[in-house]
Amino acid sequence: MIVLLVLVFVIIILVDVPPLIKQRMWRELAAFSVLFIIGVVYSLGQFYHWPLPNPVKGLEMLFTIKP
Amino acid sequence: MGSDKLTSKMKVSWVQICLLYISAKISVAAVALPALTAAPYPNRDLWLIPFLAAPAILLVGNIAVKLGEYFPRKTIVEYSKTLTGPFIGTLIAILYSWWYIYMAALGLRISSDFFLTGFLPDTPISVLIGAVMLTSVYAARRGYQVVARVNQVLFPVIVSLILILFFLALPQVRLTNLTPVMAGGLPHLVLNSITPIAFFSDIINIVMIAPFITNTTQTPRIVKWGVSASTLFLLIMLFSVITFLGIDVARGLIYPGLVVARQIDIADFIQRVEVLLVLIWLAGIFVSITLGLIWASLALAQGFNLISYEPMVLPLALVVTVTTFLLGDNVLEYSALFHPGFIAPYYLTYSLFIPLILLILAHIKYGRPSRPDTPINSEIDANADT
Repeated sequence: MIVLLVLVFVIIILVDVPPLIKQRMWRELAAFSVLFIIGVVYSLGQFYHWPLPNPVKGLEMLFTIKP
Repeated sequence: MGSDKLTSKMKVSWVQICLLYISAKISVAAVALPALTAAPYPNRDLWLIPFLAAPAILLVGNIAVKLGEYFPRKTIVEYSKTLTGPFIGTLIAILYSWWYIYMAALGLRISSDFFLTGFLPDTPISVLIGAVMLTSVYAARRGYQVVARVNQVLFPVIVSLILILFFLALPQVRLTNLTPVMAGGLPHLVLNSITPIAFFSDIINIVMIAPFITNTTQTPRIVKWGVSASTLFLLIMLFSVITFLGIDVARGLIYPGLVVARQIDIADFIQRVEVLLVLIWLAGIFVSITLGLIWASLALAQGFNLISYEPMVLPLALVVTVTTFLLGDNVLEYSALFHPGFIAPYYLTYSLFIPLILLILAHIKYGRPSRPDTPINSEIDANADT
């Protein structure tokens, strides 16, 4: 299962990163990397049950109105 | 975001946008039916909700139209930067991007769980999510035009399947299930309609797609036709579920539409038509996730002044996939996300509060919109040049 996950990461990098480097789009590469790292950290966290902050629970605390 | 390559593959007509909104909305309305399952006071007046919801959603949509009059060729992210400055503008871009991620994740999660509980009990959820995600990523990287044209094929299928389901259910409909009408009282009806209003208020998201329309004077028609048609289908779904099952049965169900479809039985010959519901749902979820991915990546790309949004799509798909698991462990846990006490403040912040502030700022800064609004008075005129 973890092999599949890593395979997905590798495929995403192979699809997106070479064209960005070739065209010298560094801002795009930076934005890509930030999003990709968030995705990787949270998917690994989901897999290994790391205690990461859950943004959905945060939203529920922030927005819920108690009648 | 002005390169010719981008605009040619992003160009859409108002009918296409309209159909995109309708298919994305009616697929959720057909299967999950949050108007019924999330109603705080489920009573037999629920089918009246669309009559309350439609005017409210039209008002929300008109905010988008008014914003479009000030900035016909700009998305909400671009003009929030000119109105509020680069810092708050970027913040708004991130906020909206997150909202699109969240909505795509929610739709994906509901659909996957629907498949798992109803049809494929032994399949791991990641397989379903991965399959839907792959098709959506492929379409999203190719711009609005691809998803709009695919949807032009899917839309007649979705609508005819819903109508087929409705007509097949008609023989077993008991109109007495609706009486006494309005026994629940107006206050409960208003409270019940909060969730559908918030849920359908994402008509505001035409601020992300209307700038790519071929003729920007036609934006009001998107709101008018999109909202009327989608609420009409909501009415059809609520009406058939309540008259078919009766509210006492329907209020305990997670997928009322599925139960109705399963019980359709015409002369022991037409049976097990719930597969039609799967087709509706598959088409709708493809549209809504593809749109969610494009909107989220476009908002980020414009927020951070990037040349193209395409490199953002794949990592965003990863983030959306992860968010589907963060929503909750099971159906009951994330159905709390449809509770009016949460969905109304959360969705209306994005669909009403932020756009309204932007509209007021635009009014202070520019006065009346410079481009005169082309009046669209008659229905004949709206149909003439389609």
